Amino acid sequence: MNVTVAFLETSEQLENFNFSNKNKYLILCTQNSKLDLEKLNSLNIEYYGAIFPKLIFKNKIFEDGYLICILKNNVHIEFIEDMNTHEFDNSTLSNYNTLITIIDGLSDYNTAFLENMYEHTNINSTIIGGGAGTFEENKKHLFNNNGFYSNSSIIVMIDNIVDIGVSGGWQVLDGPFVVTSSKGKLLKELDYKSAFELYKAAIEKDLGKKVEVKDFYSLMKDYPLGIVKNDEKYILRDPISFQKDFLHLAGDIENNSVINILKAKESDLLESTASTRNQVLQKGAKHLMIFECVSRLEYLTVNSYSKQLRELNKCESIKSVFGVISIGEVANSGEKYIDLLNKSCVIGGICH
Amino acid sequence: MSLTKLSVSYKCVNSIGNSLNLEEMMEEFLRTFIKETGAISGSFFVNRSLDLCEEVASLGKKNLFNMESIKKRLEDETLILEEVDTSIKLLAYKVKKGCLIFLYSCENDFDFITSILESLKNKIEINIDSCLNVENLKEQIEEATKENLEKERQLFEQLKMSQMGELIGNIAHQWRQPLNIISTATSGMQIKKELDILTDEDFKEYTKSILENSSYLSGTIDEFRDYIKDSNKEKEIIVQDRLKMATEMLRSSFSLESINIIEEFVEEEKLHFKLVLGDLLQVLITIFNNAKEALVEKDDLEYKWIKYSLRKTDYTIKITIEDNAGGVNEKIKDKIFNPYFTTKHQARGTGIGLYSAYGIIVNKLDGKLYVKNTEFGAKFYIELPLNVNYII
Repeated sequence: MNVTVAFLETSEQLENFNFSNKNKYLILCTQNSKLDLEKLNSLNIEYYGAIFPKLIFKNKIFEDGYLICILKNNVHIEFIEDMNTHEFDNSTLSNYNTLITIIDGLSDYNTAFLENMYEHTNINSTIIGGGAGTFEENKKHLFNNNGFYSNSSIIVMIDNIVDIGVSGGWQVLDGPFVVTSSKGKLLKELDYKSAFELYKAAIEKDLGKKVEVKDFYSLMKDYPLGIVKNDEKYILRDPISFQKDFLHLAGDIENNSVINILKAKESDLLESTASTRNQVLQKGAKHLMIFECVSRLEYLTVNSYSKQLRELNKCESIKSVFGVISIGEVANSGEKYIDLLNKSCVIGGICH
Repeated sequence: MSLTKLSVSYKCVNSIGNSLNLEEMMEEFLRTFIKETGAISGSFFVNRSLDLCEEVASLGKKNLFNMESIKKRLEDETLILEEVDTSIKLLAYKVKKGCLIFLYSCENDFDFITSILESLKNKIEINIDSCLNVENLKEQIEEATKENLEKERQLFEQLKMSQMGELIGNIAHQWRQPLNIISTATSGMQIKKELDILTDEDFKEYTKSILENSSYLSGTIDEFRDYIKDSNKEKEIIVQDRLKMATEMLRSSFSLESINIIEEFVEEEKLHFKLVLGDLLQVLITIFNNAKEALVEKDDLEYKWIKYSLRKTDYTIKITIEDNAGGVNEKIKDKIFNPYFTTKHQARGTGIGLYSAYGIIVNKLDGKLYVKNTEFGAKFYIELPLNVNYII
């Protein structure tokens, strides 16, 4: 795939863009971007798209606009209308080296869908992607010529080899705790105690003061949960809301998992991203594709993140930097089983 | 042991044995083991018999190894750990009734992974055994249930045949009188003709008698045919007609035993009900016959009777059949609707009649069938629900 990405700031620019019906288009936009599918359909082009919290292009983060990825003929693209019922039996997944995968980040089916998809990929294939979505209720975040969809996915299959890196940068605040009761994304008990109470107590201890429930939402993004893995790394889970004794997470958590409550300094996170970027660049990447977790960005603040992007763009070997702020991230280069990530920054490096 | 290793072991050990279904149980274990130890894929193969090695659960990337060669090598080895590609290692681990196969990237801590497998081996084997035992038990139960159903079907057939035999006896008895009348009428006509004294009046009289009686005979044939032929077709019936048919069919044979069938009360309003035609008749005949057999044994009883009634209540059609044979022994009252339960001599009773009647009324028609003892004897209650659409 020759990477051709354009960024358009307004809907007028989108309507006047030089689309060609010889290509397919992946249109990534935000909840503020005006989308008129009838007008796009009148252009007689094949397009697929998703709505993300924010977009990344060059050294900026955009809350509005359109990222247009122009896909040539050798790129295969599959739009999965219903992740819950989709079967990959006759899919061409295994014929491609890299699968750029956009899922509905708020769907309950994304973990099972990714596992199902992973089973049909070839041994060396790389999966990179993230969850689309906004926190507006009942909104459908993926689209194509036929309309908007929820619980859906877009898989862009390319021959290029993409090197991926994942950054974390979180330190242990408290733990370990055993998940003694959970269901899907709902964490009920840690060490047989109320998950919410235990989590709240750990944060209060760190802050050295009592925290009012109303202030809790703004604090949760700073304290993710880290599922302990064998390779000394964590699978991060973001608490996104709470209810009585329960915590709602942005991804599934299994019973008997061992977790730590994590915390980070801004400098640690930035350092981790810089190190991931360097790791990808060392392999000769010229284009960087970024899936940055929405809550990680909130922690970092847009200013410090933009500063980091500017640093990134200073590197002479890099021709383009583009990406999205996502709800859940996907990164698998075939060396282990697939997992849906939270609070991570996934960087994919494309060399050509 | 480090926290991460402890955490992996803890999670893996807790993922074993959470289901008695082999596929579910092994899938949960594989999913946890793969995720926790960072495998690319994992499969479990079970040996249900010596020659059969069957994949039960598999997660992750597929078809990356040749199972046949691994199976052969596992006959002599417990563990295979080897590179299958420059970056991938295969780990095959033999357990008592199968094997686990995983693929990993080469940079894993294989000492740790194999040590966990070693520590989990016993628990995995016990739980595989438990699942296989449950599978076997299920198969045995299914087989036994199938055999029982077949036996029950045969017994139902026997019951039907025996009831038909009785009915034919009844019909023969019922036919005797009209046949006598027909025979007398025809021979009367013949003699009068020979003597040349057959008048037009006589002729009309004799032919009328012959027609009436042959029509009656034809009616009894229709009733019998309904019982046999249409026994699988669902029809809307009038309950009074069914009750009348049952009593008519049985009356003559009951009279031979000096048993009186008495109508206690029958609702005048026609009560419609949708069912398989022969079903209600079969239930009624079974209960009437049971009462008859109880009464036959009461040699010292001077006046033997069976009373029946048919009433409509707010929600049900209620039929009662009562005899004066002394009632059902309280000790066995709860068992009389059980299959193969009989108080009769083995040659006469199969123990399937009331069981079959119960099946029809309760399971097929969603009604009630029960018995109470009165001051005279046993009283059977059949309750059919009104205002219900049946799917039979």
